[in-house]
Amino acid sequence: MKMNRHHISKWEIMRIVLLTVICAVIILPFVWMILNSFKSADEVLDKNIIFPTAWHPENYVLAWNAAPFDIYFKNSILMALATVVGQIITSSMAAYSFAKLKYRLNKPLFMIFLSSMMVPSEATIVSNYLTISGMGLINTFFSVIAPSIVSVFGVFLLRQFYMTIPDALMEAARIDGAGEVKVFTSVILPLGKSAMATIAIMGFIASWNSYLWPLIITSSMELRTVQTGLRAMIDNDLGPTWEQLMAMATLVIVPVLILFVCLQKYFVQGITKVGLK
Amino acid sequence: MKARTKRLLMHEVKGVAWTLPALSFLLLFTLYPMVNAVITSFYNWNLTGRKKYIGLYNYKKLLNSPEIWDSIGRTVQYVIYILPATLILGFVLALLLKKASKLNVVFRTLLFTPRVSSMVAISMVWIFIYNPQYGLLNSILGFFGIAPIRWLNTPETALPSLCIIAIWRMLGYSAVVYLGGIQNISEEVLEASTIDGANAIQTVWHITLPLTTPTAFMLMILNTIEILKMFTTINVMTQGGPAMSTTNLVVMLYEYAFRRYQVGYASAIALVLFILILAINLLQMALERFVSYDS
Amino acid sequence: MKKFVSLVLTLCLTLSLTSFALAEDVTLEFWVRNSDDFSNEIATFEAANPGVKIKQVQVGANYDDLVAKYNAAQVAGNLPQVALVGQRHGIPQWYDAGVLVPAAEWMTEEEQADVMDNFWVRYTYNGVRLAVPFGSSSPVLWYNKTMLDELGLTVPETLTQLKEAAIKAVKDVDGDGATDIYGVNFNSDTPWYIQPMVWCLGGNVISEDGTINMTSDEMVKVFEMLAELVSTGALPANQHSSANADFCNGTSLFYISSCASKGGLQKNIGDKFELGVALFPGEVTRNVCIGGNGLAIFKSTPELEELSAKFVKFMISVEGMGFQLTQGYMPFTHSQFASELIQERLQDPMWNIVLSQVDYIKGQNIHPADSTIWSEMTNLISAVEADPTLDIPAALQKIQDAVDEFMLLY
Repeated sequence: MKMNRHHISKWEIMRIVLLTVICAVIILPFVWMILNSFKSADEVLDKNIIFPTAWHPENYVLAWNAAPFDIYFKNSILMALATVVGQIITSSMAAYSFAKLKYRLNKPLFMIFLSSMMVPSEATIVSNYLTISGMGLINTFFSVIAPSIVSVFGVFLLRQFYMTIPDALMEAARIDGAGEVKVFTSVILPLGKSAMATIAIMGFIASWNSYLWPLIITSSMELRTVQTGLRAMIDNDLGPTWEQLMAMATLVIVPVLILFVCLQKYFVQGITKVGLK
Repeated sequence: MKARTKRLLMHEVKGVAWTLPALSFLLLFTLYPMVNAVITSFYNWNLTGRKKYIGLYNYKKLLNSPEIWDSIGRTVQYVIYILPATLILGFVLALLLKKASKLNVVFRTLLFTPRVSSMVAISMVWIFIYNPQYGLLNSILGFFGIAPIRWLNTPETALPSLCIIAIWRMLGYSAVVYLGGIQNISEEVLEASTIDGANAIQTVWHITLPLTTPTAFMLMILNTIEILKMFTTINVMTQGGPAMSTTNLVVMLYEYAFRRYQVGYASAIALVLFILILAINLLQMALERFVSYDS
Repeated sequence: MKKFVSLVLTLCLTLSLTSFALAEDVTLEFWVRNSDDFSNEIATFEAANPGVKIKQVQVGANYDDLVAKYNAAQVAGNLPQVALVGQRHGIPQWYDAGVLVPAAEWMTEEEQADVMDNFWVRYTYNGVRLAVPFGSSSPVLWYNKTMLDELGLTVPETLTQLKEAAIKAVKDVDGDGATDIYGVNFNSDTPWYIQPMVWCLGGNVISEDGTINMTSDEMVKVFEMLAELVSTGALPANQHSSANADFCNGTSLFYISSCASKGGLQKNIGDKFELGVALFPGEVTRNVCIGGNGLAIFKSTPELEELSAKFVKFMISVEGMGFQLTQGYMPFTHSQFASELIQERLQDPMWNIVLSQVDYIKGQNIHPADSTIWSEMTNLISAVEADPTLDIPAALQKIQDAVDEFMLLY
């Protein structure tokens, strides 16, 4: 027994050391990004300098002022939130149908949903532009988020969750006189909360990262997103100013990281159901 | 009889109605554009002028060009390099992380961070790390006395360098998905195995691994689709170069549609890509019979 | 629920913000890049022209973004009235599609004569002047004077001299087997530098009648020179995206790039070394190209087109060149050159050299195949750098075939 315990703790130490090393490697790019965002222009390009000799927080101010980032951030946040809300509504309804309702078109429709995951968004841009312009909706908030309002991954994930809900639970609600909508909102929806957190984060990131579509569909500053500002810094005619670019990259990445850390508990619960049949 | 038909029909209507919000957007913004792409692929169109019907010309040209076969090859190459790494290392990481502890939550969170960071922003950081002359990676190699490597600057190393980033990005995610599969294995099964005298490795091999095959299977399909559609990293970091060595089908599609304004030709490429993704997924689906769902 | 309501409210607010336009004023939309800001010039114009408002819209990070926007807007029928257009990005296509009002139609002979002829050529298609030159730049040879002096070399006048000097500069400082100091590098828009080299050897790519010749002996020679630079280690293969930073960091003797890089280079180099600039090297002859952008007017109503013309003419006048000059672009009209601002600028030795290059500028007509040639050239340059032993004539023949085929379908 004593031997065994000794054995376990040796494994445990090895495990922790190994994980620490792996995690250090994984977060190294972020650390490097943050360190460089505080360096001077000279030190950024000096391979012998790891830590800045003098810290330059003004890089952040300069980067922030390089473009109207206050507008960009506001837009990115609003658009990401609207996308997330849209995705949660559409995918929970569809997932309920696929998981709990018995009808012949169930399987074929679900296959159509899954196969649309295989369509690369770069192939749909031109056509979607024409569709939106046909509706007269170019340069509107709605047009920016419209193509991403459905998340097939979200439908899939919530379906996995809803399938584990026993039919008896729904029957009980029906006997209590609940209608179809009531069953959905009071029995089904609450049980998919953690999957919703997963969808929310994934949807938020996807929206936060989108560049080409918002660029093409909008033609006013008032609707532009952070990625526009970031690209402008990259494509600068004069070559990128690395320390400012790293500062901006930090500002773009960190809010989403914070969101993830806050929601990570639910997020992980949500994602764990991916592999269940 | 009539009443029964009516009731069945009501079921259909009800079922479809619940999917409608999602379905309508999906039809309009994903499936219709795909149909549109099929039609456009029979035309010569530079967006500004008239569409000119040219029949199968785009396809003949496409399938006769070495470019498309190279791109298909590289698209598959990305999968071959990235997928096994995410599946195998992801599984190992999940085993290391499976116990519920505060420290493991911290590890799990850190491992996942690449997945939730902006691709454009983080690609710029990686360009900086890979810089052959003053990048971090060569500095580290230099510390160990290894000669500098021209990561993104040679056709031989560029694609593997991009794969490293993709693995870095997908690893933590894969581990967390596996974690779900592992946590789903009932305690009794594991205990029974230990009582039978199996050691840790034997338990993993005979119990954990087979019982997480459904997870591995789903992960394989989802990761494959993601790798086949890889774009932002490549476009920001190498634009498909050097010497086209990192151009996959999406990059090629983008190049023709948005840099050369050959929308018809680009549509034909889009269709080839769609068929490739479908074919690979169908091939993987055939593996489903090796999956054990009886946990 | 609250969140949702506030979301809807913001949505409405954003919508109402975008659909403005005061009834009395005529508004012209003017699409530019994100890095362009003509607010000062626009204010001056608006003050002089009451009742006309210019709405400057920054529509993309680079010319590729711009052209995607214009193409999309054209299909949807919501093009702006005035547009900043990249010199090799779709101008002939828009003219052929009938949405562009050629500059020749809204400028008098006299006004046209003020713009220098060699700048006009770049915006001419089938003999018609389509857009008017605007933010113009030209490739020059930047060099690290401190390093050049240390090596005891002189500033190269010809491509051959450049090649020889570049080879001499190669050095492995720390002895790790990898080159630390290179001879020469181009900025990432590589085809832009190959073009004038072909001219300098006496060749041509697109002749006046629009014939494209990708396989000339001169073209082959330029690529052979590129291959030699790579195989001798003088040019770091496929390292163009960091060429600017490398040069500023003192790891390259020469840097071939736009004259508009001046401000950025000076800022990033600081006092690390002394920066020098020279004319783009000649050989048999000396000819350089121009790049950058022009201004185009898209079809609208006669009244709007007239106002647009008025605005564009203002932008290319001496009063309108303020922002462009801060960006390091070149003057391109006779009156701009005669202006006090430019005369003053000629006192600066570096500007003097850059601006004296105007005499060597040779235009090449815009062509529908420009973007195809550009993409193919980018790929070939990259391929030759990756493998200097590549069969260059065969590769060039392939480009010729691709271009011919493109034109056949056009």
